[in-house]
Amino acid sequence: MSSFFVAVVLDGDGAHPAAWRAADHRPDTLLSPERILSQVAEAERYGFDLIQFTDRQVPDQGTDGIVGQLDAVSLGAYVGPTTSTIGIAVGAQVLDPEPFHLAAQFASLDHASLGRAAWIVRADNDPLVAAAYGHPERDAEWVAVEVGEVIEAVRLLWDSWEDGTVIRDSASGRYIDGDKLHHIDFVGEHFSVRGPLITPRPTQGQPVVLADTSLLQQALAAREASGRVSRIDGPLVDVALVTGTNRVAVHEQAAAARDLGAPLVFVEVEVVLDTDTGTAAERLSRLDADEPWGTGTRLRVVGSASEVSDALAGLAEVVDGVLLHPAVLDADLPELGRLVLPDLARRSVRQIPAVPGQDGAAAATTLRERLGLPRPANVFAA
Amino acid sequence: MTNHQDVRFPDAQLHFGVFYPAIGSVVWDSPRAGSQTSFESYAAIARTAERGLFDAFFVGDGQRVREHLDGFNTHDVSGRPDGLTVLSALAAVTSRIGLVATLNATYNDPVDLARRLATLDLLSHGRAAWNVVTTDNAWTGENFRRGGYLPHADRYRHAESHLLAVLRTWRAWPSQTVATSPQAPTWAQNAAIETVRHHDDFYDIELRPVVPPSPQGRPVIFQAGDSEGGRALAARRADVIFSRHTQFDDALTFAEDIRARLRANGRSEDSLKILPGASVIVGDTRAEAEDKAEWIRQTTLTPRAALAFIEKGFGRDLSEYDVNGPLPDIDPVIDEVSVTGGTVGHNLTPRELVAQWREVAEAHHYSIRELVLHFTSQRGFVGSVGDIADQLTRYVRHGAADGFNLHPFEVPHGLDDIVDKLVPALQDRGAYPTDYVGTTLREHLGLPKVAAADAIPTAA
Repeated sequence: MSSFFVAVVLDGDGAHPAAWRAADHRPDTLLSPERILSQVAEAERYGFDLIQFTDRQVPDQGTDGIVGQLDAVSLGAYVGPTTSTIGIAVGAQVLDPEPFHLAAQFASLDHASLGRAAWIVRADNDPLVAAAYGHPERDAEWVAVEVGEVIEAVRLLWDSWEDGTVIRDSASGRYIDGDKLHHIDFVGEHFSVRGPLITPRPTQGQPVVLADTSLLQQALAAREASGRVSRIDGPLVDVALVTGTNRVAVHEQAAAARDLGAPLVFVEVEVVLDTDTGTAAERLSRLDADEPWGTGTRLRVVGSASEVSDALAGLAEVVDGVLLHPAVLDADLPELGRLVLPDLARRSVRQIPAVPGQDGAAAATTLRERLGLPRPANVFAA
Repeated sequence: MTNHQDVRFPDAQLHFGVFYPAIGSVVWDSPRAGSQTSFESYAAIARTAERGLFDAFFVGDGQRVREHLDGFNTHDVSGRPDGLTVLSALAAVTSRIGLVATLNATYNDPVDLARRLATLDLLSHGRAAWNVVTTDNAWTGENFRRGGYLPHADRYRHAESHLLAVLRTWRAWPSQTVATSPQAPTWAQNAAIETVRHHDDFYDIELRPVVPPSPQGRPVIFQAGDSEGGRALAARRADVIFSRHTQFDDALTFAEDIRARLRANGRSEDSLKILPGASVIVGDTRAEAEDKAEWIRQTTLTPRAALAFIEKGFGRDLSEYDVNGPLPDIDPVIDEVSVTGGTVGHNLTPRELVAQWREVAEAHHYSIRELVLHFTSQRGFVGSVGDIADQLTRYVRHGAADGFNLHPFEVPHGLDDIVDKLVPALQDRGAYPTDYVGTTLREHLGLPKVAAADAIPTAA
């Protein structure tokens, strides 16, 4: 296998709740644009395929840790013009925001990044979020219906301008070809959207859509129960995310994700590496002494760079990519970039992508091209 | 020139903003015209404006693609990005210019809007602003979960509730509350951050905000409504008001009205800036500028565009009519006209509208095209660089305006003459800054610090 994709989550100071105490910068510079740009540039230079920012509308309750957070779509847009190859994935919520705004935001992110946008569908059904938006907490059935319907409405809106709608035809005095614009007339259980979108079709046709496998499962089950027929041709999402605390569990979930029709499957993995301040295990125990990092549903790899490479090479046999959650970004990201990615290349698990303009490398590609995903056909095209 | 004794503000300098022409009257059928929708075009206009020391770059709002008769409006420029998304990308390729998003209070939730604008404000080091607009247009509401829910009479009451919820969210997180050392007991002084509680007829919000304040405290507030409700809201809450009043006496009357309202609210006269929107066409000579203005009119008002304008009143396809001939001698199709053009700013019925057109056309012996020009000609200034520099200086020195929000006629070059010719002429007159003095939009505009601006009672 020679195309294994490596994505990395750049939220806060890292996945460990005490990561902010081990960062190389002062807490009050966490959200500074210079720090963010420098970290994103570093990730691109190392050759990661994708970075992820996750949106959260409210902070954790009762934490001593990080309570500051930028809007993730805006953050993704901000780093778009300063990067040229890396994919930009944004985890955006679907339960309260308007599907119409989500579609316009991701289309605009895709335009500003020249086709490198991805949307990670999130549905945090949290009582604090419900209080912020002034409604009761939603039940699981409501959420399951909503996830599927918002994805469908957003994808239809992306298609509502066909490619080539803007014609600028002097002879007829027409700026657009009205036959290529479409009302989507989506009517769901909880909302409806007329369309078309205000924004022309995204550079990739549609940004890449990722979702957690259990969310995808619930959405598809809810759709089947309702008897509604989807107007989306092909799979609901492009990449299904799976978890699992060991390889067997990952294998099972990956098989389930493929059964749901996901073209690609990425596994979420937490990593802690050896650095010059200590072994991975020593670092983890120091961090846990500040605030323990509970184990959840994800595989956690704690070890040297070559041990992490071994683990990833093993996973490459059962999934198409990995979404890494480094414990401390300032410490673990450089180790991953300097040691693990080159090691994976040596083992022919994946290549380190070329940077356009250097050593005669080809022009920048879209994220879909990079992931080997086809440009989606437009559902409205005749 | 002006009588020196009449000059109320002898040292005043102009502030310029630029409105990105995403829709409407912009030249697209020209070899120099670039894409109106690409990010590169947005970046090009923003960079040109920044080279010209403009205070602000604006994007407009429109949440539904304009329609016409039984289809879409095909003759006008159409297609725009999400405002805050494109401005966040622009924050990375500009360093000084303010970034103003026109956002509708009716179809944006205050929780999302406050978080997204505060993010832009941090990412741009304090250059963000919100131009507050309202609508009760149910036609636009068809794109949204909540639909067309707002009664017309509640438009400004709702907008003020929304604005207050946003201001409260921004105010809830004081500056310098995030730790400076990793040894601090907590990442932020959590007790200093307030929980926002905003409960009224429109919203039930209980929220811990997530975005700390930027160097300018909070985003600047712009307000564009010219109605009684719009002016009253601006005089209570806004930092900048747009207007359509570009003719000198009219602009002065408007400015005096706004200043009186500020005094009545206990606000200082310089705490709100007045920026009329205008198109400014300059040439080396007056004749050159007039030629350019005529070329712009000819190029933007194509025969199809002129017919489309009157088709909105007549409610039917008129493509068989000659735009250089008289108005059609037929009755409007009354019941089939709606507000779906998204541009109807009058309260006339189609029959009244067409009757008004007929009256004007007959009085001036206008053709269809001339009639449409009569109603659509851009407000603004056409003349030699020197004459326009003198005129604009007069506005600011007499207190008729604090500056202008300019509409470029073309993308990406429509601002070049303003920046390369008019700005130096204004600088020669001492009526325009020669460098950015501060780093934040609030500083560019010469507004009081945010603590003073927000010492306004928060009860609606």
